[in-house]
Amino acid sequence: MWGIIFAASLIILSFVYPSEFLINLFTQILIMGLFATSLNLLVGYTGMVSFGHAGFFGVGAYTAAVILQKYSTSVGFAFGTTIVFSAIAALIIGSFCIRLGSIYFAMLTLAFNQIIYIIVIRWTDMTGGDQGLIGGIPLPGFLSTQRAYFIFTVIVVAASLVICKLVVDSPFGAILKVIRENADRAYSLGIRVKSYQLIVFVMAGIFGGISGALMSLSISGAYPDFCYWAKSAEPIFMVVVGGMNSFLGPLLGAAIFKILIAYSTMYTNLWGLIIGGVLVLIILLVRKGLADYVMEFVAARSVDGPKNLLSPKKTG
Amino acid sequence: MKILEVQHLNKSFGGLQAINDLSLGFEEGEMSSIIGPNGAGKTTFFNLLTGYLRLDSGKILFKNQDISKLPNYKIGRMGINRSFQISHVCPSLTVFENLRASILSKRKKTFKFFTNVGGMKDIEDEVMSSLDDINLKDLAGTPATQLPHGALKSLDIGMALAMDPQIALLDEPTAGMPSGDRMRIMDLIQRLWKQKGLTIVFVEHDMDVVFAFSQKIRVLNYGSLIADGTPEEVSQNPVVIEAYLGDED
Repeated sequence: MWGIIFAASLIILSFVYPSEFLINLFTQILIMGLFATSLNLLVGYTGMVSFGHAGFFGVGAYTAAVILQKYSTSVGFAFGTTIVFSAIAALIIGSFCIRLGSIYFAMLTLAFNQIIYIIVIRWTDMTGGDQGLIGGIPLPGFLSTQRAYFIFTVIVVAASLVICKLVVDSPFGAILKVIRENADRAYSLGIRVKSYQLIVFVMAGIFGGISGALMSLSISGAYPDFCYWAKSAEPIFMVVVGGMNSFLGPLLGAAIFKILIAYSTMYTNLWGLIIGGVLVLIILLVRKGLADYVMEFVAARSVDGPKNLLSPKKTG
Repeated sequence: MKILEVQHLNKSFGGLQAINDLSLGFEEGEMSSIIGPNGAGKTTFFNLLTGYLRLDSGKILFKNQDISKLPNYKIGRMGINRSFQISHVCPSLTVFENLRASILSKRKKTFKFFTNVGGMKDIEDEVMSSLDDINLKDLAGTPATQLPHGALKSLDIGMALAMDPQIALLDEPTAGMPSGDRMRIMDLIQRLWKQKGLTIVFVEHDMDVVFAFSQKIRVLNYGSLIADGTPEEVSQNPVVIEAYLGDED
């Protein structure tokens, strides 16, 4: 419900205050917000820290871009294919990665991320190699203006977030948290941990892919650095700064990240320093994501008796 | 009828023979204990029974079916559920959420992706009644990390018992507790055992607890069974006295 209101107000705002700069900025924020939220299904909800999430962003970006540019099909078909390809990639990569725990899982996701990057660089005929897929991506008339594409992004991102939210609030989502907290115990309760990990990995891959597709269509091209391993650090920053224990934390993190970059690059080319500085400050001073901090502050102040017992605040 | 039985079980870690040609069985409906000095192989035995460790040789029969090659989650689903020596709960989840994991799994509701788990009234009722069983209803909303030690142990045991196990294996249910609390938690386990007609096996160091709450006692030493009988029989067994009880008192 709040999602629809938020989405509608964003759309209305784009008419009331039609700034190209802001519309573009918010499009980027929403796309990266979905990307970070999809990663947080793994990091925050299941406790699987993936360093290779940009791989799926790249798979999605190139799939949609290639399909639209070379085969000029409909946008719907391009997104459908993106979902299928991201899911297949995640299924293959996931079934290897989930065999390993913690740091080895992280390293393996990183390795697969690099494999995807190499494929993109080498498969020049299809991807344009290290130059990127240039020459523009044809979009149908109804998406040709920046505002139209913004509205499209709002709808796709909102729908994706609603699906993610439903899943994390479902019994499946409840079990994911149990796995995050104590996978060893989960087994003794008859829970086949690996199945849950694989399913959520594929889900994260699909939504990572969708965000990649939104990005390549928004800037009318796909580039290898979409799936360079360093790109995987961006959603991790967003998740950490925004808050991994709040559903909208990663979206907030994406907003902070993109706004910081947008404004700091106006004054300096040392924006990396600013991003790094913010990360250090938040980790040292707040010690949790900003959204988590706010949620806990509010929860600590609300006293509505036993009802609170069943919808408890999360800690740490 | 023996609900769970092991035959010629062996397990070694490197050169250490942790379980050595062990054969024994548990009667359905019995509340029994396993005792033995540190390193006797008690926890290893539980880990073998629940699929957390693979045996080297031998057989584990659950209702006459060999389960020795099954993965731990399948054994958990069959109704062999355990609690852990060092409490094994989900620390930052609440007491309610911890116990809900057992109920969701038992009711096979875990692969529902789009139902709001907070709205599942039947699950909530069952969680609350299980929490009532272990006297934790008032702490339902407390994160497990904030629980006092005794309540944490109760939760760990409660998560196993909420699965409605065919046989519950409780690894040191009273570890680290002052003696008053020990009796209280054992009373609780005994009450649930009677009430639900469970089969319970527990590992314990406190001899007062062992003799007060066991119908049968099995004594392990160096991974072998050195005595098996009622509390009276075991307390008078010269081998046991020499290996174990003698040092204690």
